Amino acid sequence: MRLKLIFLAIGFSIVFFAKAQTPSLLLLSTDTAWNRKGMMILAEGDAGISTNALNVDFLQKSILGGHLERDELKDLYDRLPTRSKIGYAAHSDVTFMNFADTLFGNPNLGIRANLSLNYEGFCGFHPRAFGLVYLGNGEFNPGRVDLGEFIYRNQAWQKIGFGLFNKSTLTGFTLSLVAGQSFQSLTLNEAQFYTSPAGDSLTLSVDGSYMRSDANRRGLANGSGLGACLDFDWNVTLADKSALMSFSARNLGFVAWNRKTETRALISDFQWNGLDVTDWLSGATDTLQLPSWVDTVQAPGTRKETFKLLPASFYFRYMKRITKSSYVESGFSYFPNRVALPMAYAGLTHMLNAQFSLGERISYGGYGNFAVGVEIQWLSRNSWFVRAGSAQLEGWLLPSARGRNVFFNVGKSF
Amino acid sequence: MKFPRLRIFIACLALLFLQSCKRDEPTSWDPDVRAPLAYGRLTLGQLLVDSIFQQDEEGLWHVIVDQKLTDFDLDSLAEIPDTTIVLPPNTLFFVGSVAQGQTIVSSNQQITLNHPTAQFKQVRMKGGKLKYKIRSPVEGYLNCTVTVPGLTLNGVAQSIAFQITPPDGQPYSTTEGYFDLAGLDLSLTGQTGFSFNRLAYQFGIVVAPDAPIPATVSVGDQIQVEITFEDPQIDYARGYFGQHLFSFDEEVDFDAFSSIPEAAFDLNGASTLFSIRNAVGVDAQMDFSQITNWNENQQTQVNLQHTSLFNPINLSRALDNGGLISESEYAVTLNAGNSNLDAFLENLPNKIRIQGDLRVNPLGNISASNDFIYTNNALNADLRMDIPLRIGIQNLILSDTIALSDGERELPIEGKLVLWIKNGFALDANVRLYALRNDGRDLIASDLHLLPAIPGGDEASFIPVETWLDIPITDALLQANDLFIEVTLETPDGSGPVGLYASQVIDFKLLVDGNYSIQYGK
Repeated sequence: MRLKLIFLAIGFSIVFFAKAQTPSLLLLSTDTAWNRKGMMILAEGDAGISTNALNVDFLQKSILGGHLERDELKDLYDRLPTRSKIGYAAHSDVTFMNFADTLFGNPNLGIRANLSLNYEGFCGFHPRAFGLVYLGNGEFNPGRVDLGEFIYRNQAWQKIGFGLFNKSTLTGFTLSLVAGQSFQSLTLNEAQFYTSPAGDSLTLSVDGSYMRSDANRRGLANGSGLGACLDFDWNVTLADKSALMSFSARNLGFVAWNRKTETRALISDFQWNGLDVTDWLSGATDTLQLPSWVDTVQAPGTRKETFKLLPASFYFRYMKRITKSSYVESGFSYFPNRVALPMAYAGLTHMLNAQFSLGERISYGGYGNFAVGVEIQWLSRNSWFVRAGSAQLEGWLLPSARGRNVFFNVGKSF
Repeated sequence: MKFPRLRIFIACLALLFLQSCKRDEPTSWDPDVRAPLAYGRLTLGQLLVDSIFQQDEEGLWHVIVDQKLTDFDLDSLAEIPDTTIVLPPNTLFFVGSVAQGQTIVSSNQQITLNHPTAQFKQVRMKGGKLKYKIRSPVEGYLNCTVTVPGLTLNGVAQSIAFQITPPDGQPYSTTEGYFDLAGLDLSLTGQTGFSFNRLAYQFGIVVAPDAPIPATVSVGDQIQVEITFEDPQIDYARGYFGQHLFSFDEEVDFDAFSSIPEAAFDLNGASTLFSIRNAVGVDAQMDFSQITNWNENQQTQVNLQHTSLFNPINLSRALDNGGLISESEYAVTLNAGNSNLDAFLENLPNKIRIQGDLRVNPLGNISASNDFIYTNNALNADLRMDIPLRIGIQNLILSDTIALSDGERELPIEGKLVLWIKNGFALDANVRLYALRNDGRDLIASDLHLLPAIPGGDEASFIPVETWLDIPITDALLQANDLFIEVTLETPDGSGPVGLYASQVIDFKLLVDGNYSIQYGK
């Protein structure tokens, strides 16, 4: 299901797009015709997967199908970092910004409304967990395999919000009502897998917990959870547009998942010795049925209303003009969870004219390693705005790249 | 860039992107898995579920068979055939008008049961009917009473009373009825009390006291009485039953070995108690002419040989102590020392045929006519076999079909199955595994040799031996409808017969060692 959601989100991403911070061209362009009109509709979308461990070939086959060759998996396994991680996200978002009206007697204050679909998740794992799943326990010597810490989160939610903003700097905030769609969480503080020397007994020892939202509800805004959140942008631009500083926050909020949310403590040894066919041999049953792991590995669970924070993120950006038409840009993003690192980036943005900019960046952190990104922004005279790019361009070019990302914005002023 | 071109560009990009996102095949990979599939314990207790298998105090399995060879039907000694008796004509005391309450007939009589051989003095019935029919020409209502002093039910004398109606224009009236004989005791010693096959009774007829008019008896009127014993069944009889010679030739289904597969067995130490119980109060002489068995599968027959069993066997009469029977019994133990019992049993018979003669009262009436029989417990011949499973086996084949579920048939594994067996039996075993198809079977694995347990410090202890067997996972195995496993057991060369004990088990584990194909998304 998670993979399907990503698949769909990637499909959406070509239609809508873009996220994170306010597009720099809207703040730095000397052409301000777009915000002198009455309204702007900005559709944004983005989707991407980033990892410090896996490559695009693996991800592509995992998502779109294909056979994962053992040699490739072995090669991948040999090069996995101790703290392997993968993160993915897909958003689509429509924002209505009203420039026409005066609010609270302040002509520079506008009102905006926002509607968005959001899918985010991440997983942190030890290489041996990967090896056990993809290479099998036969890859390891009999005995105990320490699988380390394993963290997995997946969350889907929709937002509808209203907020205020500064018409010239687009500084503002949006308060949103959040409809939780689904939530899954598996946290294993430690896990060990034991294969007996003869191979006649397998034991999975885990210490952790599992949580999932109401599994009987599917689709958008299905009532699984309800919450609220705050998004804000703070943009400061020097009067001559020679510098820009932005600080943004997304998804500062929570979802109260309904009382059918299930939580299971996983502190146990799950042992598998094979199916006991002694009764079968005495004629008790005629057909030998292999058991399923689902039936074998069980732990008692509880169902109750559960409060969970949304996956918040914070962004800082500083741009300074270094030539007549170029800006140097640096910044960082912070995702407060146990898996992601803060991501820092630096790059250049070239204002080819008042309507067109081209940017290139190099980044490090987040769920991945180094990444190279590019983006173009175009602001037409009849007030169309288009932004497209990728924060991990190499993912579209190299099978060995550690992720892939795309974002796309389309805006129109009326 | 013109706006329409932008839209076309975006649309093309979208189509290209969506096309690239299409899932054409499942995601799959082949991890190297070493995991247990199944385990279990095989004991003889599971295979020998039949109650004929029992352990002794040392845990040695025995085959214990109680087989009733024949239940000699001696009911014929005490049979009363269906009999109709017409009583002598009754003389009427009056002629003319007879007032109400007047007796017109009163007589003491006895009837005789004609039996060709038996002289019954007493019988107890367990079923049947005594039917009566009265023909009366007397114009009047009459009451008839038949009192039988020797007819008792639980010690209480019984009598029969019925009404006779006028002929109503006919030559005579007919009155019919019946009397249930079940549970009745009949004394058949007649009016003297010392005779046999004779039933005394008193017969009386009076004009009904409540009759509306007096009865009119004409000259020559006679009242005719006819009684019939219909399907009389005797529960107990006493008397003298006569001399008889019965020949018998009975074939008995013998299913004790039906659950044991075909093989060459060397049964050692078997014994059989052959017994004849006589619960009848008659002397008898049994003369077996032949006892044979028959193995239907092998079409082989073995005649039982014994030093004394085929001589005439005298069976003294049982004693009746007020209903408590002291049976007489003849018993002889057959073993390898006095008979060919081993060969007889090693034929694993399906049927046993027993032929001979039985003489009853060969010395005549030496009991002063006090022979007795309780027909539900007469004369039985039984066989009680005790075969300790200390056996030698050659080519004992155990086989079974393992029905595979769809999930197992589609088990996507390349590699091998590993069968670990810990054998507690001192038996060699060769395992063969076949894949069953609609049109036949394919041999998947053969010559999988299972090592026997090693004899321990004493006769009943064995040191289990572990064996690892590799079974390749072939296409034939994966495409099989079902699996057929065949295990051939043999006692090791030169070891002689080995005991099968309850403590002996075969532990086994089935592991998979290979590349398991995992896939999802299609």
